[in-house]
Amino acid sequence: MLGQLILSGIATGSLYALTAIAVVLVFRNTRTINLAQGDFAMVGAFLGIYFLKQLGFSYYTTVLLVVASTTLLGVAVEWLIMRPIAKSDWLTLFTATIGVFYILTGVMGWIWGRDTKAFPVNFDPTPIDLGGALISMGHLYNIGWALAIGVVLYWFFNHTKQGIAMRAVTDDPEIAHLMGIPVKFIVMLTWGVAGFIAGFVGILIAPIIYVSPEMMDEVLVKAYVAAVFGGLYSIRGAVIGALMIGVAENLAGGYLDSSLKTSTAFIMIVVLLAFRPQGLIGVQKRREI
Amino acid sequence: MRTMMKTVMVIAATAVSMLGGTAIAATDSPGITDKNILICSYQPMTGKVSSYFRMGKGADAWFKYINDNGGINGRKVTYRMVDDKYEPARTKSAVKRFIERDECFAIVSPLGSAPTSAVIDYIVSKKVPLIGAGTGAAKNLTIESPWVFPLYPSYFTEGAQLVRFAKEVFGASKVAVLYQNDPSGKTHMAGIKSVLEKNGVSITAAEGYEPKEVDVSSQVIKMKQSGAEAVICSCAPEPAAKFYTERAKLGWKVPVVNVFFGKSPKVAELAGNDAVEGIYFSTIFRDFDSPAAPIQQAKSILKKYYPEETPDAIHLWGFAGAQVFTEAIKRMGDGPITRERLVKTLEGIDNWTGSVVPSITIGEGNAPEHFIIKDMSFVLFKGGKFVDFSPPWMK
Repeated sequence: MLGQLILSGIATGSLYALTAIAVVLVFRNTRTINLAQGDFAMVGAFLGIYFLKQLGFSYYTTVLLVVASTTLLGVAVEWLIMRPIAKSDWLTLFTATIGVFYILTGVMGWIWGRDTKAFPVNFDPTPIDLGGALISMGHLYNIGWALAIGVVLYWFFNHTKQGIAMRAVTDDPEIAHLMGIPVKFIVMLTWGVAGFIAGFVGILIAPIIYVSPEMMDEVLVKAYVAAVFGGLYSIRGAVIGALMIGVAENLAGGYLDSSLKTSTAFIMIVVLLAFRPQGLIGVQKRREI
Repeated sequence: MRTMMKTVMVIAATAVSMLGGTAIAATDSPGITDKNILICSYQPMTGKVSSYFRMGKGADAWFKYINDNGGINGRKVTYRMVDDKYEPARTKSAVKRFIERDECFAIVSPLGSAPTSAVIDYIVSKKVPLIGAGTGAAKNLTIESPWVFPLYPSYFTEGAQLVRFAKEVFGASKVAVLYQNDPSGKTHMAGIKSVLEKNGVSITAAEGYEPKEVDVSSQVIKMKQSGAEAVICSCAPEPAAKFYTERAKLGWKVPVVNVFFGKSPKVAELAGNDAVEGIYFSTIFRDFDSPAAPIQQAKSILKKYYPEETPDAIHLWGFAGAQVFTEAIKRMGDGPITRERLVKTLEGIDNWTGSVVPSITIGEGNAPEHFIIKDMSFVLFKGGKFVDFSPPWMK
C-alpha cells in the first residue's frame, strides 16, 4: 500500500509540477502571480479536442498546434494586457491576471459549453507494474513529459543566450537593462514559455482530469502552493514541492483520513513558512518597499 | 349637497376598488396573471457540477413544449432559471430575489442538496411551493411542511437499499464505501450504516472525496487494501469516472453499485466503456431506450429544444417535476390559481401515468407524504449501455 500511495502521489504531483514551473517562471521575471496559468492549459485542452475531433488531426500534429497556440496566447496576454501595466505594483498585476482568468473561463465556456468533456485520446488502460506498485500509462506519460520539459528548460536557461538573459533579468532587471539585455523582449519570452508549458499541460492532463472551463482550478491552487513551497524563485524547488504535495496528500488520505487529503498541501505550506519563510529551496530575494 | 354627493361617490368608489382589490388578491397568488405563470428554479448552469444542469434543461424543454402548444388552460409558463453554481450562498440570494422581487408562484425542478438545504426553511416560511427539487438530503425530504414535494426517495433510503443490494446480489458481507463529502454523501452513509447489522454486512473502509478533488487514487488504494468484497459508490458522474478508471488501473475486479445520481452516459464517455462494464447503478427512471410513450415524447421534446444534448436520466428529473406541476395547474381549470389550491390539487394526484414516471400517487400531509417517486430501480452497464436489472426482491 505504501509503495502504491507514493507512486500515485508522484503521478498526481507531476500534474502539479509543470504548472508550478510556469508559475515560478512568470513570477521571478515579472513579479506577477499569474492566476491565469491554469487557464492557458485549459484553453490548450479545448483546442486539443477541437484539433483531434473536429479537424481530425493526428495526436502529434495536435500537440504541436496546441503548444504553438498557447505560446501565442501567453505572448498576446503579455503584449495586450500586462505590458501596458508592467510598472504597476504587484496587486495591480495580480488583479489583471484574475481578469484574464475570468475572460478565458467565460470565453471557453461560451464557445464549447460548460459540460465536462472527455479528451478523445485515451491511453492504454493496462497499468504498468513498477516493483509491485501500479501506474497508468497516462500518468507515466505525464511524468516523462515533466522530466523532458525540465531537461529542456535546464538546457534553455544554462546554454542559450535568451535563457541566460532571462536569468539575468530575474536577478536584477535594471542591471540587465544597463547591460543591453532587451528586458521587454525577455518578459514577452517568459510569458511565451509559460504558454508553451501550459500547452503541454493541457494536452497531458486532459485525459486524466477531463476537460471543462474549471478543470484547472484545483491544479492551479496546488501548483501555486508547490511554487511557494519551493521558494517561488526556484524551478527545482517548485518541482520538488509539487511532488512532495502529491505524495503527502496521498499518504494523508491513505493513512489518516480522506477528508484531510485536500487540506494537506495547505497544512504543509503553513508549517514550512513558519520555519522557513523563503521556502524549501528559495533564498531571500530583494524585497519591495 | 353636491359636495356631499361627491364625497359619497368617492367613498363608494374607494370601497368598490378596495373590494375589487381584495377579490383580485383572493383570486390568484403572486406570479399569476391571466396570460402567464411565473415559476423559478436555481441550477448549476456553470461550475464543477454543471452536468446536473441537464435537470434544468429537461424542465425548460418541457415548458417550452407546453407554451408552443397553447400553454396550460390558456396561460403560458415563464420558467426562470438562475445559475447558483451549486454554491449555497448564491442560491440564497437567488431564491430571495425569486420570492421577494420576482414574485415567483412556485419553485419547480431546482437542483442540489446543499443549495436546497440552504433555502428550504426560507421557502416554506414564505409558503411558496417547492416541487420536484433534485435532492436526496434528509433535511429536504423530512421537513414538516405541506409546501414541499420531494422528487425522489431519500439518500438515506437509497443507502439502505444499496446495502441490501450488495448482500443479496453480490453476496458480500464486507463492503467499502466511496462517498462525496457533502450532505448527499453523508446521508447515504447514514442510510448504509442504519441497516448493516440487519443485513449482516460490515464496512471495511469508508472513504470521502471532495467534488473538486483532482484524483481519488489514495481512496481507491485504501478500499482495495481493506479487503472489501463489494463497493458502494455514492459518486457523481465525474468522480465516478475517476474511480472506475483507477479501479481498472489497479486491476481490481470488485463488484460495484453506484448511486442513481451517478448514472449518466457521461461516466462511460469519460472513463471509457471498458472501465464501466459490469457496474450496477440504482436509478429512478426508465431509460431513454424504453418504448414507453412518455419517455419517447420526452426524448423528442429534448431533441427539439436542446438538440445538442445527449438524453440522460438527469434530464428526466427535470421533466418529472415540470410535468407534475403542469398536470396540477391543468386540473385547477379556470378557478383561481393559488398556492394553497396547488398543494391540494397535487395531493389529489392518484395513480397518474401521464409523465416520465410510470405512476405517480401523492399523499396528503407534509413533505414525507409528498414524494413524487417512491422506489429505486436498478440498471447494469453492459455492452456500452444501461440495461434493466431486477434484484431478487423485485422479481
